[in-house]
Amino acid sequence: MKDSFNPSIEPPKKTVTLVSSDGYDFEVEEEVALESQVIKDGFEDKAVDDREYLLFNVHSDTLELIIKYCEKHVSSRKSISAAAASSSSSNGEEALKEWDEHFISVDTNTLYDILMAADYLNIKSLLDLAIQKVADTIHGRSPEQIRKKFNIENDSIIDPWASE
Amino acid sequence: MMNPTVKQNKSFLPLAPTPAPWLVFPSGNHARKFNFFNKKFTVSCGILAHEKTLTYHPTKHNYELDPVADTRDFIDKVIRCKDGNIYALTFQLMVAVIDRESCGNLSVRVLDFERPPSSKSSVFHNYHLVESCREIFLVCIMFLGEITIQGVHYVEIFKMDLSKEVWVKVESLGDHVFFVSECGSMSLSTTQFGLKGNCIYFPIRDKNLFYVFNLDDGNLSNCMPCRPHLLAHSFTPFWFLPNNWSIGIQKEDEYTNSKKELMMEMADNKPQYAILKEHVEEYNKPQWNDLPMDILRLIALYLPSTADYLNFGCVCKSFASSIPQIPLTTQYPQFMFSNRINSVCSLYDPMDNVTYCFDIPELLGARVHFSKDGWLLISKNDYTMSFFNPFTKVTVELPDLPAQHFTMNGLSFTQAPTSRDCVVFGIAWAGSAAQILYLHLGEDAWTLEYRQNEVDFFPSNSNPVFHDGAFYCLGAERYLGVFDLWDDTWTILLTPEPCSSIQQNFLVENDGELLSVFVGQEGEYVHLYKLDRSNMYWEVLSNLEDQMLFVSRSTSLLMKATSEKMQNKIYFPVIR
Repeated sequence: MKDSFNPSIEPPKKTVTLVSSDGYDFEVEEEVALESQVIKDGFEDKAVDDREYLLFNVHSDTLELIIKYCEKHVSSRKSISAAAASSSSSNGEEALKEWDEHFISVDTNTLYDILMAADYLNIKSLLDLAIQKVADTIHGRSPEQIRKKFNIENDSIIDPWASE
Repeated sequence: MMNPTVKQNKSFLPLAPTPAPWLVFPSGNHARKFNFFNKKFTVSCGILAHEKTLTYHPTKHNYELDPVADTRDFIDKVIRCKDGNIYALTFQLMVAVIDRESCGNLSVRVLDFERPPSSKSSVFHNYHLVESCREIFLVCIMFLGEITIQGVHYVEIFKMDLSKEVWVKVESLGDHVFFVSECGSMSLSTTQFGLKGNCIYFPIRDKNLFYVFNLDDGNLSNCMPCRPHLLAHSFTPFWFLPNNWSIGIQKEDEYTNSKKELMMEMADNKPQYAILKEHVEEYNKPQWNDLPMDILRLIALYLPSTADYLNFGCVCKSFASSIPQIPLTTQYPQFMFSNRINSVCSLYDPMDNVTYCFDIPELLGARVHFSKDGWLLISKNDYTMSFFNPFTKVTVELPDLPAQHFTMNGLSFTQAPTSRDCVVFGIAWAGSAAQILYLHLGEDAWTLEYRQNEVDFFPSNSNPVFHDGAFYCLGAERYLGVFDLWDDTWTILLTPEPCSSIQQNFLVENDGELLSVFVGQEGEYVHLYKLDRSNMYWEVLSNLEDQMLFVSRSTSLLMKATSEKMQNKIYFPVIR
């Protein structure tokens, strides 16, 4: 009886603090932070009041994007499973795919930052998304065009495919 | 003189947001990952450092560079004072002077110093040498019971008095602050920083935290409230003073330099110590060619076509080096055209309907017989045969074919020649018999055999299929000739079917199923059959569902379509 006294009030959400490399604090919900396998590993061993993570490699600009991605994925997963439970038709997965596509449509510098952060934080789905984007960007381009696109210096002594 | 062999490792140095030294935690395998901490501002980067220790030889009463530490005492701490001397503290708390002789050798003189007084009640001591204002200081952190923050008993400082050869206790540091760690310490004047003077900052290993001891009131407080999230294998942290914000101070404090110089001289021609090379200006710039190898490999695996794969490998050295380590697994095959007159090869991409041209000199004059896993089986004349991988440019030469062999109808191999179990197989028509040629990779010569056919068998001009330990060869009448590698038997299966074509018959294996494809002249019809194994007959197959089929004389394969428009289609070449 006591528990259902006021069902509209939810228990306060547990949060985790993520600190970017340039020193900004980001307070995020626990389940959002747990999208990162690195944070998930050993999360339970950490004291509740000690749940602050210093992310050496992640700049605040990138961290903001990463958090946005994780929040979206956590909330979409919930709505998809809710729709499945009520057996109502849902195009949640397609909508999420579209959202992902829009999310990853960034310049190569930002893409690099996302790629490195996803690798560092071990967020599998985001890493796949970023790598797929890199592969798509490479698709159909010549080595010279790839270098130009990603700002890579040509350090090959000979270019075996160069046409004379 | 700088030692030219000293290896300069590329690294990123962190920017310093506040004027204070960094605390550096080496971590990872072999301590190659360095994590820089400046209070809560953290960056990590990789620098490689390697040290040899100077060890003490009691018989010779000197120290020598010796990687095998089998002596009672060894040099624990080294410091260079502004007076030009290099001082060292041994594990047994002896003071030594390291002299550099003109020939470049190092010699060690142990001074007759009294050991620093220590409190009897302390069990453990951490000693650190600090150079400040041309004086050498000894910071002694005493622990009761355990080396944890709870165990800190007291912190004492001594100054080296060279004339009397004693350690003199110091009560105050004035406006100076000491930063001490296992791997080097420094002293800074607070007038430039706004830090509180008369303090000692030190890390304690147990929790990777660092603390400040205030000499004014004897208080000890934590100055890194949260525990850093380090990779596995973390090592002793040390202080690091970035020099991009205050070159003056870096010049004044030569500790790091002296250690570097010392290490270089010790390095006896071998690079033993890596200089920290600054690339501060590049810090924010993405370095696509510096991506970790596993990420590069993933990118290569995600590339949709062979042409992308070839282009990817040409971008730069690091991209190229990621290529040979992965097997070729593009999402769908491309048709490869080459002719024997010039070395330009074309790759046709059926998905995008584009043709890519590549110059592969190794394929000049070569005929491609079969391909699998990115490897081509090629011949340049009637007798020489080799494997060639166009992606890694690796060639595996095979022994010459025996002189009595006939023109082969089909050639195949079991697996990539990188495997020892690779077997190359060929079949030729020899009247009432089949001529069979095979070679286990590594053997000196081919095995040539004639196997009598029970019925008339004319092998079709397509590659045999290796499946379940046997090579299956399609005959013109849809007979199946089976050469079992292990039993060394040749059998012919099936009853004959009306012959529809003798030119373009193909055999494909997928997931244990055998499919045969008969293509009419210039593609006027295409017949597709599946082998019903239990009844041993060819069953007409009318639908490939979500699969796509690629057939050609040298290689045929069936795979799941990557896009809807490729589903349920058979791709075949038409030769006019």
